[in-house]
Amino acid sequence: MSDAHVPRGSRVKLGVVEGDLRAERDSTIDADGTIRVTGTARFQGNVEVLGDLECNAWDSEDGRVRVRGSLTVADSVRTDSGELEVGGLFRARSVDVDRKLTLLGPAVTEDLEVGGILDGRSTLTATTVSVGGRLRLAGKIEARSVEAGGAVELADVSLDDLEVGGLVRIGGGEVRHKIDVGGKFRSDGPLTFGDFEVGGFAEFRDIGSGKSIDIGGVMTAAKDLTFDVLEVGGIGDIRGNGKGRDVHIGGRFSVGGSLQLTGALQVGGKASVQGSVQGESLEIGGKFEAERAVLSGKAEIGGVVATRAGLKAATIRLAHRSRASGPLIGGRVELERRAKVEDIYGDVIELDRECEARKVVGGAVHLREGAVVDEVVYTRTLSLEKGARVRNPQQVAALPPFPL
Amino acid sequence: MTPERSGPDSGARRREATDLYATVLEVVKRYHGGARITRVSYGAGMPVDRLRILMDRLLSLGLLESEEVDGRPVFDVTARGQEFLDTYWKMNGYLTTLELYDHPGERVSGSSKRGETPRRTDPIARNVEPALPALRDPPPLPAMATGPKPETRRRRNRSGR
Repeated sequence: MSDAHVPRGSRVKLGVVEGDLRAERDSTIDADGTIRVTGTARFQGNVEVLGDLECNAWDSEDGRVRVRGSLTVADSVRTDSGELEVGGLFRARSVDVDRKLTLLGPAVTEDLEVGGILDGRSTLTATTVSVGGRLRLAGKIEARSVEAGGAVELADVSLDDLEVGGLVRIGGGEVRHKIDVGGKFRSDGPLTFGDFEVGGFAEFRDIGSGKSIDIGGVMTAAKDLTFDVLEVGGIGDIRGNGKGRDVHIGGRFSVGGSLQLTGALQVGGKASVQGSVQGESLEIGGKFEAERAVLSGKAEIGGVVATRAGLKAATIRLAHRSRASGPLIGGRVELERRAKVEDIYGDVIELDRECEARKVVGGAVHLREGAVVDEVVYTRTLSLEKGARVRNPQQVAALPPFPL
Repeated sequence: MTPERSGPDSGARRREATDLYATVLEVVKRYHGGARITRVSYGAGMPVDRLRILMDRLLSLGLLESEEVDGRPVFDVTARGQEFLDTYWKMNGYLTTLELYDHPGERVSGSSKRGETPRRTDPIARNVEPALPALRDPPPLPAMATGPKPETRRRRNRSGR
């Protein structure tokens, strides 16, 4: 064994080192071919390695070590209170860098941990990547899990899990299991994912396709969004089409295209859909706007319904003082007190006290005290309580066809 | 941040105390119970002396907990700390939205002199774009004692968010 020692401030040329290499601060090492260290390469302070280096293990402390060529470490890389920059291909079994790791070429490792910043200009293949601060990678990243405490910017991803405390911006790709972001998320290209959880703000600038989407604050999707369950605490906006099972929005929800669901649409405030809505049930706290809506179950609206072609459901219930423009078509339609609507079509229709309707077409129609309807067309019964008025009641053998 | 960096040309708002708390908690969380103060300082981009004051405050508020491992303190986020983070990010999302709705027509605000980064209303761009292209190095640390490095990192299951 013959260890190699590079004194402080010196410049030496090395080839094969049978043993350990120890380089002191402010030294420069020229490569005689590839530098091969059979033992551990140890560095203290700023050191320049002008060429390729291979070693069994790496241990550096303070300052910055720059390897201008490729770096291959059979075992582990440990950098204590320092930085590492690799100009070419970087291979190591495990990597643990305190301050900053700069990768100018591609990197392949199993476990990669950086306390401060990981800045990569090429691709990264790893099993796990953990960064305390910021992570930026210009090439594709393939890994089982990536986590970072601060901000993350990735061009193209193929991951199982992505967990970030602060901000994420990704070009696109696939996160197969879960994306979990504390703060804000943005994807610029097409993205497929499993579960998606963002505490604050999420923005899909291209098509997104995933399972469960749970966003605490605000979600915007510039194009189509496909999901199993979409849950947003504040505001949701899909500028393309939305397709999935259930939607639960705490505040406002808007869709630029159509919304196709197999389950429930629940919105605490206003829901606005430019195209058609299809689903099982509808529950809107405030205003509901759509070209048309067809639900196989019930529809409950607390404020205003505005459709062009109509709202159709097995059961429709409009709350106290609600308003509707466009026809309401249901098996059963119930209006609570002082609701005002245009046309109603249904099998059983009940208008509570002081409700107003333009036209009611149904099998059995019941108007409570003070309800007023211009025209009623019915087949079985028309019952009017005290003060209820119908200007033009008409009993027929068969009802005309309903809209939708 | 992530809670974004403040600075004369960052175009971002000043980091409030709550932003700093969130920054530190998010970094601590990444170490799954084995966060050393030096590592947190690299992750949060904050000098150790200033960070120590902030972490003492987080400990006294019950948002962080610490224990001795190999004679050195390591930190973890408590359930209450996680609750703080959840609330912080949710509120952050609402505030961003309210800002957008308060200034619906505004695309670029602030100075747009040549060479200056415009302040955009795009909430992601506003936060990420000024920060990421110019990654900042963590501040220099006071000289560290050399010697054998105790194994302080321990992996364990996190309490889920």
